[in-house]
Amino acid sequence: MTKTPDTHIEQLNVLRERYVRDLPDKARVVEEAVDALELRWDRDGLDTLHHLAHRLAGSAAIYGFAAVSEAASSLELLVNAALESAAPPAPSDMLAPLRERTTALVRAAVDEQLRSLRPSRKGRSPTAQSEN
Amino acid sequence: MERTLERILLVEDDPDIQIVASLALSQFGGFTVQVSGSAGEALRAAPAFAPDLILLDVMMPGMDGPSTLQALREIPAVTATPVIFMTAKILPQEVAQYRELGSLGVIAKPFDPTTLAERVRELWREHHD
Repeated sequence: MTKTPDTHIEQLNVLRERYVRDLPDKARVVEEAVDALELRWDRDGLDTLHHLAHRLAGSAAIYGFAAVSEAASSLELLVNAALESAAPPAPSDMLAPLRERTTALVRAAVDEQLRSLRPSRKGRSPTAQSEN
Repeated sequence: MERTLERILLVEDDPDIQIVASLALSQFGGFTVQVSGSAGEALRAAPAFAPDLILLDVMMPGMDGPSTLQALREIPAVTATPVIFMTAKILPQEVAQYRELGSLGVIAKPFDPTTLAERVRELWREHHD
């Protein structure tokens, strides 16, 4: 297998550091989508939440933040089940698990950001798995 | 004449994935890349850019990947341009469906940015050999 050139690793690390800097904000956008659902429970709101969780699950995995990706995937699955259910679940049944998973997502994002601020990260593979 | 792979139209709605995929394909792979963030953007960009290959995300808001491909096929400049889908959900029946739509193959998400360009080349070679 061909070794990845150091310049490529460096370029990816720059993107990775930029991504993790914004990661808590991205998770909070997901949290705001849950806030909006609490005020107005409708299919459009669930679609928006599903889309945001799907995006974050995908991009976090590509940038190597496995814990964030898993938390976002867990939320995505829950919302997807609600969207595909023949009998849509009542908001009162959904909001607590949505909150729980979104809180876990925000916590994972903040943890990754804090971890990235610690020294001795040089040389880490951009696609490395999370240290969790 | 055998067509070479130089120009890739990347259709992906997530800006974070656009950036890393674009870097992987252009800087690491040496391709000329144009990024479209939606089906609409891709339909507008395709005629002038005239890509050799379209790399198309499956799950996009609005028009999804397969619907985008059907719309692209109506544009003379890209009516026969090879397509590779990118998706997080690789189910065998979906891969078969994408092949029926004329795609060269499917790249799984999450992809590894360090090998994305090579994976694209592999699928291209499999199709052209």
